Amino acid sequence: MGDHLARAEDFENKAEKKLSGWGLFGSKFEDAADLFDKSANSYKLAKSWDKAGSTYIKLANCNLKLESKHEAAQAYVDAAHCYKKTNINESVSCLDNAVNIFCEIGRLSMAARYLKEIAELYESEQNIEQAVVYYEKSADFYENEEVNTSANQCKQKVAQFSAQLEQYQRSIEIYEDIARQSLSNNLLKYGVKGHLLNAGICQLCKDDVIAITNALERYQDLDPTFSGTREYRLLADIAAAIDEEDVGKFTEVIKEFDSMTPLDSWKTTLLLRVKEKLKAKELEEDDLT
Amino acid sequence: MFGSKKSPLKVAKPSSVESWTNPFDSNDEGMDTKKYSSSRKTSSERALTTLGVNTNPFDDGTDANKKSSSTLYGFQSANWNKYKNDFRDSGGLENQSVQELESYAVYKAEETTNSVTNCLKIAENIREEATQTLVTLHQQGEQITRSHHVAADIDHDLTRGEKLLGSLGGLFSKTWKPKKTRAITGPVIVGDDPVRRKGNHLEQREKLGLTSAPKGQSKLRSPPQEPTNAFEKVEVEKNKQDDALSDLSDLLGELKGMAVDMGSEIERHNKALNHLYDDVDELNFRVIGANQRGRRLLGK
Repeated sequence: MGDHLARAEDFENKAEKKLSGWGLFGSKFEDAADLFDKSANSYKLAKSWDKAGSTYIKLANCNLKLESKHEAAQAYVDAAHCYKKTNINESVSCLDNAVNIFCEIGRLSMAARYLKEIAELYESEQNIEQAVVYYEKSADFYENEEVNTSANQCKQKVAQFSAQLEQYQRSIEIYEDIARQSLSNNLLKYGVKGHLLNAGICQLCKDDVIAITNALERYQDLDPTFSGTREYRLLADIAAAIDEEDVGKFTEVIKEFDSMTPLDSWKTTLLLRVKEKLKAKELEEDDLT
Repeated sequence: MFGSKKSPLKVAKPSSVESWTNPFDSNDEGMDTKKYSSSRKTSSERALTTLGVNTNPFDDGTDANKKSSSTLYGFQSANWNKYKNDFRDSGGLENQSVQELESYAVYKAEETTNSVTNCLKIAENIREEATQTLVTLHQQGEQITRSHHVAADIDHDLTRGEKLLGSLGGLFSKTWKPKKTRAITGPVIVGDDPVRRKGNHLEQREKLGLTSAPKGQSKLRSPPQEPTNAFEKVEVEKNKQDDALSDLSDLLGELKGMAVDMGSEIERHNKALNHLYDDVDELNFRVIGANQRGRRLLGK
């Protein structure tokens, strides 16, 4: 380990010397870049992630001087991957730089990929608002490049987090849009009822029985097979329970569905919100009587 | 958890387990489900069970810690054990009273219902996984097409490079023509793409009235009234089994459709990959030729 560290520092010093000296036709930047690359690799072997990251940034700067933009962007990505282990903010900053360069040279699919990576970093840090922003950007880029599956994955993340942030209408629009797209594809049509269920749960959170009923009718028009599914029945029965302000029925309906298809944590969270509202209504009714 | 109202599905289990750990479990699965679930419990779940903690987020939690000694129809848990052994300990089936045999029939009916329900759960799980697999396959198809587009772009760039290499030789050098064995075709959609073509086939059949939408599970339809005698109880169980089997049939039909779609998509991928391989092979051949030309020029 110490051996790797010593070699890394040696390479870095040589590179710095090269940069401060004279070079013919920019060859000093080429030589320095080569040395910085070796130095960064040695730092990685020594598990000195911060130093490896900062060395990759120096490498990126050399590549920018040489007008090798693709290599510069890749160096920023390598720096980000090193910083990921120690400093998330630095990692995000490096990925942002990489994305900007990829956009400049027209590599939009690469830019989309790293925007998604930034979003994942924010998600791991529980910074949901920023995660949503970057997932949205990533989805946009993927759509421009017609990488629809990846775009939809990012959109689903946006919808999921938007619902958690109580931006239900936004979630509904995304899920309905994905369902609409999926219907015209033989491979994706089987997932439609899942998307419509998610949209329906978001509708329930809005606490508007008429809107829920209208949405269910719309979903039936969208996919005629939906009305025969357990997902449709779950939504319809919950809507009825909300309309009747019957917490018992609400619980029974959900338990019955969950006994067959266990609800994931996202659905559970949203349905608990619905139940809380329903209980509050019930208590209000009791107070009035 | 959310107040004092009693949860509607709080039905006692045949064993004396103090609470359940499935957040939404309907808790009316009789003895047999224990065979399936107990072995799968994690240590934390066991701990929760022994502590008598109710982990259901949708439950109101007033009744969670009551010990239960009777089942859905009021049979003793000791009786269930007797039925499990098929009366081996008490002289076999022939030596039982009519009442005992009726109770045994109810037990067997419930056991069958649980088995069918478990089959349905498994089929649902398979469907979830299959749906994910189809999405992944779709993504893979997109990636193959994109890779092929990139190969076609490389072909254009390489053609320009070959022209430059051809004109680099100088005045007296022999003109160089790149060797090409075949043209680069780029991505080919094999046949008429079934994925796009058949997308709304089901919807069209629906509108024609050829296929009825699978009827939803009718577990929640209101039963006529509480069954009183063993015969009625068995009938109720039979109805439950019919519903579950009907749902299972629909699910298996859907799974068949999924399997067919997976098969045809993988076939498409294989053909697309064959085309891609041919194009990449041709590109490789031309890159080798261009490198040789470059080396020759540098050697002069």
